[in-house]
Amino acid sequence: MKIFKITLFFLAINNIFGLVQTNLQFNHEGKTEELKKHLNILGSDLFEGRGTGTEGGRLAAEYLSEEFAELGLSPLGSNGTFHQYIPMHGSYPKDESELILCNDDNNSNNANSLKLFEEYILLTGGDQTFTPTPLPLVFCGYGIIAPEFDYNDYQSVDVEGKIVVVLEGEPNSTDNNYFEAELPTIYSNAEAKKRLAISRGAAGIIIIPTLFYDPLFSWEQVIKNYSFESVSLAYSATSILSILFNPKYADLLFVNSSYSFDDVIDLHHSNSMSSFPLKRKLSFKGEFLQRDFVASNIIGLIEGKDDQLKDSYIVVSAHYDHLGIGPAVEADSIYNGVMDNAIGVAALLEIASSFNAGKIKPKRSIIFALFTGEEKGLLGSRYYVDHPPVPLYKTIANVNIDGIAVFDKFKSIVGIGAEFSTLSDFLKQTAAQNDLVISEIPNIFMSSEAFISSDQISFANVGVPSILIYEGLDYENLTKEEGIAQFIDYNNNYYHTPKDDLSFDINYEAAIQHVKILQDFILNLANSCEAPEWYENSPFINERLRSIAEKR
Amino acid sequence: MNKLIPFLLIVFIAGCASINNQVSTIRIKGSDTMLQLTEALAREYMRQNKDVSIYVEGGGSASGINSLINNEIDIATASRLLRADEAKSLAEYYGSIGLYYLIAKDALSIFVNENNSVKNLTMEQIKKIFTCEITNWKELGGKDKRIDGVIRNPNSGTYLYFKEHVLEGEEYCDSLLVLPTTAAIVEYVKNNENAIGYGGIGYGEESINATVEGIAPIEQNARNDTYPITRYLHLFTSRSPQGAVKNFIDWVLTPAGQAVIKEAGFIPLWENPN
Repeated sequence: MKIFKITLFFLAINNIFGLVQTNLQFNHEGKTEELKKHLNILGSDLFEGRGTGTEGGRLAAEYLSEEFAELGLSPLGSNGTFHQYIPMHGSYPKDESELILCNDDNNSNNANSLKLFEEYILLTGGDQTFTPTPLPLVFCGYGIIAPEFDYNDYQSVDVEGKIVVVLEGEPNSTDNNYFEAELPTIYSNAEAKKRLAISRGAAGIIIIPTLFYDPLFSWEQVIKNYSFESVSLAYSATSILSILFNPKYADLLFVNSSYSFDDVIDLHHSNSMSSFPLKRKLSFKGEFLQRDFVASNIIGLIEGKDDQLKDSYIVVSAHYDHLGIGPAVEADSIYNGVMDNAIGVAALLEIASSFNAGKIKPKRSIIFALFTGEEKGLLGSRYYVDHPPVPLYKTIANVNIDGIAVFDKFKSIVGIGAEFSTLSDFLKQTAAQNDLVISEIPNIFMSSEAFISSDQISFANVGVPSILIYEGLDYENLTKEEGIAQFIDYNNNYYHTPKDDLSFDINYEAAIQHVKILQDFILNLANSCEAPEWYENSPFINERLRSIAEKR
Repeated sequence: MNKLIPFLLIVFIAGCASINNQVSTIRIKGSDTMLQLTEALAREYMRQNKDVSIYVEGGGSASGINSLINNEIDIATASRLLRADEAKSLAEYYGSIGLYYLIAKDALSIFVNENNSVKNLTMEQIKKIFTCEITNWKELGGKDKRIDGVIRNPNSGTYLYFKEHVLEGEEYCDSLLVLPTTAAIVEYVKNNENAIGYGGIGYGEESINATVEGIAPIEQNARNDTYPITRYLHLFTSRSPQGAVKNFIDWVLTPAGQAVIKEAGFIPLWENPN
């Protein structure tokens, strides 16, 4: 249900259907019971929230591997198994970690020792945070370099070997051609800010949330989000000390500077942001609990029946991991993740079962991939596209499932990412088959973030057209306002909390309707002679062309 | 959404290093600490892949990273992470901030001569020895002899790691003897009763390994971070690798590659998942 995160930061035809067998129909009898069965198992406390690299996560992987075998899928993992083993690294900061702010004259009398979690949170861990010598701070606006908008926060300041302090977010805009008007662009993403800082030679980055004037923002919620072990692949892009700073204490960074933090917020509101050196230095000596482990994606194949088309592949994916065990809420510390994303996995198993039931044989081959590490930064899908069991240029599309409809039966659908490729045509076809209309996500749900917030972006980044299909807000028994209220209630009270468990009220008719739509969409794709393509103006098209040219 | 394009060039590691699909030669350079290990990995990989030729060179982490930035090699080995200026150079030359791979863990042993009665040191004492605040073994309960400290050359990642993590950023004192390799340090300590040096546990011998804070530099203590001077060893590429380079790195992370790491005296990161 990543689409429904309210804030960006906290986080990321015509003739082509000629040969589609539109008369084929799936049998949906008994599906509710199957869906419930999988959900009750995956969402149970036995799996302890399916945290990446935990015993619960390992048990879930074993269960899913056995389910794939039961369904008759062919293994596509390591050594003839369904497991694609992924080396990972985990770290968690200890309280002994020491962050010191001092004036740039290094006078220890005005130094502040800051408290982890209360005053700051680490976005990175391990050796990359090691900053034993106090380094100067430089305020760099939003930390953005965006030549297409003629915008560069680093233009007038030297940050090499220094620590940059930036605001979360980006310039205010009502112009669609300037930072996408009110919608956040990718430049609002914390990882983007960090990598741009690294590219300018910065030794660290401090990000101050600006959402604190938003009634939905609370530092306590931020702490909860970062209360879990930080996990990365064994390989990562270069990183640096990255800190999220509690805005309540941000004045400490601006002591003796030409602007106070309040002044900077005024600059933010008046759209007159400026960059300038600060009069403070920062050192950090981190102590971490670190470990290295192997987690697994579960991957299986249904081979297509068409001699020519079966060597092309559709990846149907869902992440099976959730947060694991974390801070207790109302005496419950197991984050079961029933909506996020046990239900998506249950849907995928249902779809795989339908395709393998024998009556409907797709022409193209279908890979069913259950990813781990999604909650830790899309790790499983990133590893998959770096180590694909079949070449990416033969992979024609990714259909990702991350949450499905549970509130009410619906009359419209949304294709996240459909605007980038001809997958939109397949969506139209599927909608028509099911008497649905295609709608868009309301802006309050930050639609521009939806595409980058789950595993489909990993495929897009390597050139494979991808999509995430949700229900629209046109329900049979709920008004649009009631639908929005349900999503906001989910976001505020259930999302990434132990309350996302089996007590959640699920409308199984809606869930089965969603599963059927996904099946129809996948079948349309699998039986089409034409593979989907990126639109000419898509940012992902060049990577696709390279992948085809290099046959990788 | 064209706005994404310039951003992607830097933010997402676009894969086009080793573009030539015909590449069968891999050039690796860097950490002296990792030299024997990398040679062992290369040897075993070449045995299993007859069409791949791997050249391994030492010279220090900084030297390897510089060669990577200058596009002279495919993989740099380093016992430390990239410095800010090195990442900036990569971004300027390649539009990418580089990738690092964790391949093994290493504990830095403190070497003392086997006839030295001082067999355990605290982190504070080690720092004082190498900053010359403590200059006589008598101050540590040993003989009344001047401490003969020996260190790696400044181009070494081990030198920098030790300076940052043990000396806490302070400078080494000038009177220390500088030797070019860990093997040379081991040899020096074995032959000089008053000597003290440091190096990866892959190079040391049990008879000259001191305990630190009462903890021995052995695999189990390094794996669970109880031994205080523990670090990761890395491979670096300027961009997302492909072809032979990618296959080699992937192999290093498999149980077969990790077995070579263990055999070379370093600490593998992952047990066989099977």
